[in-house]
Amino acid sequence: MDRFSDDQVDRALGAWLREQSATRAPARIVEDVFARTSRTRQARRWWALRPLGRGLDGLPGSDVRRPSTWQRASAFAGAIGILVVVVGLAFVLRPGVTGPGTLVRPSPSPSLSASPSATASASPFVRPSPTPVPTVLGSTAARRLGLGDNAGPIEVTEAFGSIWVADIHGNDVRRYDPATMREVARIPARGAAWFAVADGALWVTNQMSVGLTRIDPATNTVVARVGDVPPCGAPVVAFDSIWQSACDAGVFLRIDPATNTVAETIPAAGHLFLALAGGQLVTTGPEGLATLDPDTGAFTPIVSAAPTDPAIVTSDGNAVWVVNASAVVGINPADGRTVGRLDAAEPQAISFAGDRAWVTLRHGGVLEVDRATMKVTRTIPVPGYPLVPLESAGVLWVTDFESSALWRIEP
Amino acid sequence: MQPVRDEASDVIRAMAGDHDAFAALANANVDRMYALARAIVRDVDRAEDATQEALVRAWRELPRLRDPSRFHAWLRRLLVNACYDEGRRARSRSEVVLLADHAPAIPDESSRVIDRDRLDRAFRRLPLEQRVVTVLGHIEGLTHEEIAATLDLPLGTVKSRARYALAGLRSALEADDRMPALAAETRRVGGGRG
Repeated sequence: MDRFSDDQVDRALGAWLREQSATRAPARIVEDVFARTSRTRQARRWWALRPLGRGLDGLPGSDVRRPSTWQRASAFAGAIGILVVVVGLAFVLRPGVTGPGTLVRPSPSPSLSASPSATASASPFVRPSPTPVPTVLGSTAARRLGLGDNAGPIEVTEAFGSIWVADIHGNDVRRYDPATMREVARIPARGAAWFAVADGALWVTNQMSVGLTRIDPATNTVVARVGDVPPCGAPVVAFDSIWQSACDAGVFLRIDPATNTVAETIPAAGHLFLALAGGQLVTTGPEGLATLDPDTGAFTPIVSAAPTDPAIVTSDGNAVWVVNASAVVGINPADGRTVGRLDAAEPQAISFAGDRAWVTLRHGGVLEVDRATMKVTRTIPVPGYPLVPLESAGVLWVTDFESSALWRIEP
Repeated sequence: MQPVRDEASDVIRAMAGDHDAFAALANANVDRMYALARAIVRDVDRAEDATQEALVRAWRELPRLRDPSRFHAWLRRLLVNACYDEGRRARSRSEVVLLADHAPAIPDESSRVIDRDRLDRAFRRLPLEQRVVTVLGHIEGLTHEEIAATLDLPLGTVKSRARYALAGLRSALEADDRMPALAAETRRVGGGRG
């Protein structure tokens, strides 16, 4: 039997795919496209009140004719009617006027517009916050805070009496008052993605860069950057250390938070993500579930039905929960037994609070799940791309990666 | 001699509703879009449908394109979304039209060969989202960061999908060796979830 290395497969795949890039498209594709789009062409030109030009020579749907006076009058009347409706809707849906099931888009505050100098600043700064917009999601009261066009929120966490959001696109960490959603600090952190709390500090992975950034919550300043390889996934705090996967380099890092140094680099080919479950370090990846001995760096496989293509892994303290493209599966690391499973389309993350769990679905809202039965008890129709859920002090926080927003939901 | 068309101005004109400009853009991009769709969905009919659907959506959505300089990335995303739609539709089908691929094997540095047919079978077994990341990387030459930006996915998701795709391909190639009978069956009906 042939044994191929990843490199060999990658090169062969690349050559094979690139050969196919010379493919020519059948002419009928563009012909059909022109036929379908020409039906909307005249209406759009009337709307723009632009003079009609030459059609698409020799192609179906290219016979553009000048509209009649009646057609022009109809189009003009239609445009006026639509304008009236739009203005009316804008008046009804203006911020502060909400009704059940109505989502009110936030009006971005001019003072929040991201300035290059702000994100490049080495010192923390406080800027006037945008106003969170109250709304109702289904029957659930919520507030939505727009983070600005340049933001890409990944994880939200609660620590040091505040809510923190890692903004991977804006290259910063944002700190919020949990009651008011007022932004109280913004700290530069390259490609910020996942948090950990250790040694009295907040740590965040620099996923678009290298290492982790240590933030002093008392001063909202960066006090250290540790590691020189790109991190993957969330850090884990255990055994007096921070454990961080660096899957591009095929290693796990053990970071000593007391000295802000990488204390150990552990080869970890085939293991992508880490979690702490049942008092053990549990890893997942193409090699399947395994435990990692913190003293020897040795991996011990766990025989289980866990997916081997996890996108994310987390823990409820006892079980490790693996999320892939179609399911969330909980595994007891002690015996590999499946303790829970939820099949869903594109689940993104799971978090736990008491007897319930929250599961985000890409373009599918947030599911409330009964932990005992793993049955969905409620779907909160959070729009966009809800990514990471966190329940803290009876409030559900959700980041929306696609729309660059933070949700505060009162379940 | 035909004057060289300025694609940037075509984008701006098409955004304003100029169908001639849109036609120029469609003609300039359709081959590349079709090649991408073929590589992703592994089926000629579905690739045609996905390409056509993406172009129609492009015409409808063009007025909402915020940054004309992002036209190609935006069009790429429309195409990938159309491929996902085709993939979902195809799950209920049992027959697909396989791509003809009779080229010889691809030699690698160590003189061992990975047969194109085996590569094709293995690639079909990958989930669609892993194929998308792989194709955008190899055919479009995008970095993981650029793929993440194009698909509006977290970088970690793109990286893990690329990694799983490679691991999945290797496993499938090796499994293919172990089960020649199953491989022959897969060749007849087409494999993969997407």
